[in-house]
Amino acid sequence: MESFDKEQLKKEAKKLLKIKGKTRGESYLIGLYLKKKYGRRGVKKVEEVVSEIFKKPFSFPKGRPREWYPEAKDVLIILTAKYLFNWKEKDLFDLGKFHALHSFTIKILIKFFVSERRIFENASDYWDKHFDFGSLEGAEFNEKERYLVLRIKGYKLHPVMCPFYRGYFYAICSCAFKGEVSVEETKCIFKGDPYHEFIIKW
Amino acid sequence: MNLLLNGNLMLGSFKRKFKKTKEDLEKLELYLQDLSAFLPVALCLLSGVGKIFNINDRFEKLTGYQLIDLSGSQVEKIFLEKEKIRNLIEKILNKEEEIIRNEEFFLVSKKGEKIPVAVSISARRDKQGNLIGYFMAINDITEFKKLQENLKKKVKERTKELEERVKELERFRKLTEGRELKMMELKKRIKSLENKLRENA
Repeated sequence: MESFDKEQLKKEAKKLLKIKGKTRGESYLIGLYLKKKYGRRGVKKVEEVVSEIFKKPFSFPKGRPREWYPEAKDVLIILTAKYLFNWKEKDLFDLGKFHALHSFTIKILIKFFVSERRIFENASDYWDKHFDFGSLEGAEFNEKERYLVLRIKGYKLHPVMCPFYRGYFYAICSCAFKGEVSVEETKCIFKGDPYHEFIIKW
Repeated sequence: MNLLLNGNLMLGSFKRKFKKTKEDLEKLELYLQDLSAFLPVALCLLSGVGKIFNINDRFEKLTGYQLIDLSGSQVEKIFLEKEKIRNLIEKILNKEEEIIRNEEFFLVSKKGEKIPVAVSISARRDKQGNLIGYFMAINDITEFKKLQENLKKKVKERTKELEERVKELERFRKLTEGRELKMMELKKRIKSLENKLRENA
C-alpha cells in the first residue's frame, strides 16, 4: 500500500459530499472487488479512511441496500480506493467491469441483453432503476456501421466515474454483443461538454 | 373526503405490498447467492450469443479463472473441443434440443491443464419463449476418468493373463492330443505285432 495525500482526498470528499442525487447502488460490490484484489486488509484500510472522512464508523454492507442513499458516498469510496492504492484508469475500468458483472440487477436484466438494439432501447430504464437524478439516453444506433452512442446527462460527481462507466458498459456489451467490443468516452462533462458520451462499437 | 381516505388507504396498502415484495426479492437474492456458492458443480451463465456472463465459486476454483478474466469471452475459450461445444449450442439455438446432458469434454484451465469434464447445457427462455441465454453445468470427472482408466488397465491386464492361460491350455491340448495319437499308433502297432506273433505260433 502506497502513501497517499489524505488532505487532498478530504478536500475532494468535502466537495463531493455536497452533490445531491441518490442511488440504489450496490456498494458491497466495491468491497467484494477490493477483497478479491487486496484481501481483507485492503477492505479494512478503505473502511478506516472512509470512516475518518465520514466521522463515523463505516463498513461495506453485506448485500444490496434497502434504501436509496447518496451516490456521492459510492463515488467517495471509489475515490478513496484510488488514492490508497494509487489506481490508474485501468483499475477504475476493471472496477466498473466487475461491478456490472456481479450486479444482481444486471442478472435480472439479462433478458434485455439479447441484441444490440434492445440494450440501446432499454438503457434509460436501467438508469431510472438505479438513480433518482440524471439520465442515460440512447442517442444513436447504427446497425450498419456497428456502433451506438449513449449519453449520461446530469451526472457530475467526479472524473473517476468516467473509466468506471466505460468498464461498466464494456462488461455488459461484451457479453451481449457478437464479436469484439470497444467503448470510448467521446465527450465528458468534466472537459466542458454538456454530458458524458460513450461510443460503443462492435 | 371518502375518496381521499380510500386513496390514502390504497396507497398505504400498495406501499406495504411493495416493501414486502422488495424484501422477498432480497431474500431470494441471498438464497441464490448462497446456493450458487455452495453447489459443488461449476455453473456458468451464458448470454444469448454464447458469451460467458456469470460463473459461480466452484467454476472459479475449477478453471482458475475469475469472472473478470472470462466475461465476454465465447464459451469455447475454455474447452479443447471448440467445434463440438459450438455445435451443441447451435443445436439448442435451433431448437433441435432443449437440454444437453453430460457430454464429455476437456476443459482447459487458466494454467493450461486439461481437465476431463461432463457438460450439461440448457436453454434459458423468457415468458414468451425467446432465448435469452444458456445455463451450463460442468462436472469435474477426473476421478471418474481415473477409475475408468484403472478399470480399463485392469481389464487389459486380466485379458492378457487369460490369453496367456488360453495359450498354455492350447499348448497342453496339442501336447496331449499328440500323445493320444501316439498312444493310438502304439496300440495299433502292438495289436499288429500281437497278430503277427499269433500267426507265427
